[in-house]
Amino acid sequence: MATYSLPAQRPLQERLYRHRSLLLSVLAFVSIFILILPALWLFLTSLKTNENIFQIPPQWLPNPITLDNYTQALRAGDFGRYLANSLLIASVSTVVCVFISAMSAYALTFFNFRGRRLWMSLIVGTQFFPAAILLLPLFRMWAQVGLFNTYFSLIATYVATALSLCTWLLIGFYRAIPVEVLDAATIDGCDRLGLFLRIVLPLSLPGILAGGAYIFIGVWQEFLLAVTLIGDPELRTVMVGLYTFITQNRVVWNLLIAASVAVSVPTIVIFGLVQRYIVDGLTAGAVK
Amino acid sequence: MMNSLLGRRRVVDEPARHNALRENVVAYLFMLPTIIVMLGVLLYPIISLFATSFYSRPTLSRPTEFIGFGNYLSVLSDPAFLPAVKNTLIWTAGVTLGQTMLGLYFALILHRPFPGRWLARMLVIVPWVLPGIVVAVTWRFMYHQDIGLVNNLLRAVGLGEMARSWLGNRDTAMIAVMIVGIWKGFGFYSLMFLAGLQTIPADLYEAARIDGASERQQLVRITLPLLKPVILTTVVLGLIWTSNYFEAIFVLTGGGPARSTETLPMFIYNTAFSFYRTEEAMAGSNILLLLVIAILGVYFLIVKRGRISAARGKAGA
Repeated sequence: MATYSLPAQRPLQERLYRHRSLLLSVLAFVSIFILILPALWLFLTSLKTNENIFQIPPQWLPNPITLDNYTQALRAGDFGRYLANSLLIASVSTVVCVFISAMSAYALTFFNFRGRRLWMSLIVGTQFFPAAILLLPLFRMWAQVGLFNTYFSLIATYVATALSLCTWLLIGFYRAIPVEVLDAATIDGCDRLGLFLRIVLPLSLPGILAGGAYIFIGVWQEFLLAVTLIGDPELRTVMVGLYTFITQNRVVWNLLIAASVAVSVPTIVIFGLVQRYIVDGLTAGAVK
Repeated sequence: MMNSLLGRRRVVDEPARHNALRENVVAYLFMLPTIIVMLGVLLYPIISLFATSFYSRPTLSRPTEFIGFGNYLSVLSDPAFLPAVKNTLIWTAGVTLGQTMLGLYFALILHRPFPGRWLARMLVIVPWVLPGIVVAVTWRFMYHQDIGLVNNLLRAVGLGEMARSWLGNRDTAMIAVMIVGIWKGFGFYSLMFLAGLQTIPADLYEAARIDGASERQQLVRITLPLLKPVILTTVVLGLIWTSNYFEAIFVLTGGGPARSTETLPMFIYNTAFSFYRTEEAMAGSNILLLLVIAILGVYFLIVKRGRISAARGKAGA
């Protein structure tokens, strides 16, 4: 009897279940749609002609669709220069930061040295240090040593502020390396430097790339430090450059919006690519 | 946790005592660049600012001199200081609460399997991934008096008389920037809570279902209590992050109108870079720093206690 009733029950249960998960799906997508509507609206607006942006009541969907705002924004003034500055600053900061974090993470994971706990807690503690309280100290220091308004000061600042998070992420990746591999290499006569260069670095390469990508977008989108530590228009980063479309009297909406969407694309794409490597490290602090 | 890790991770078992010095030297060589950067670019400027905050502003006729807490007293007696503290409390409490609620809502939904969940999980963190400036631009446009979506939606549903300049109005500016703050960060909260939900063993729910517990009972009796440590640590970190996050305020209102959205970091920024009262700003910055360190201290206490109680729980089981 029981075996007969099962096939009859299952479709019903399954239908109920599917029904429920469909409901959940609708609920999820409706709430998400409402919440990301502002971002969607920005994107739709970027495709409208300048006249249509100012239509009241608003044009809900862009018609005609145009890319004029993008081409104009990218050609406007010094935007190309800002892009180049940002690329340079973000790349150099990332490479330097990843390199020295890879070293310190190696020491912190595989060495038993005096003061290790102290450095470890400094790494964990400074991760959460907000940039806001560093603004004034850094502004003053760079001015005092005569490096205010230089690529160097901004890059050094970014390296310092990203260092602890990057080290923390890399420690997570290093810990995943099987001990046997390291033991085998040591028996084969590999010393600590060789172990680092030939075993640890190559094996944690995905982690290093992911950590690097995360630092890159962090620097790419940083605004407060960039606007405070750089006064020279020639050296502006792209996020500060966006701000130049907003003046006291006028906001050049069509260009501002197109440029905003354009500079977000690298951030979203890179984050999408490395998300699964990064999220574990980011949430580890709260979950473990 | 650290100790067990080291024990497991001890790669080379050489005669330890002989090699202890060597081990230390090599380790510090690897640490050296990090130490230099941390001391030079983080610690030194903070300590130097701390030291300078006890000196007066040098003028042409009078060199700088030690004035004790003089700068602190003048920043504390600045008529805009207390309102800034009040604004910081409102901003931080409101934004953190909003982010926690939305974060929980989405984490609970996205934890269940449903068609298209992968897409929903990606979309929910879009606001968090967007550059801060772009978020500010997005909302400046949303709040635009004539062409902004907020006012136009109100007009479309016949509530046109409610349309106003949301950021230009003393009564609505704070709420308006708080919505932006919540919007920017709720995705991160969902990520944290989702990660927390994944650590709750599924057999707990199974056992509860067998015992006839309803969905609501499972939520209240299993999910929320077990998620509490994650919520707690996330909220404490969120408090630090939110109280110091003023990028959105900077771009949307600059602390105005009439300083009604000026939180402490914005106040310090304005004091330093709009009013050029650097010495007072330094004192303010140090007060903020002490606050952050205090919250961090609480965070570490919670984490430590959580570990201890977790260990006890394990020992009991």
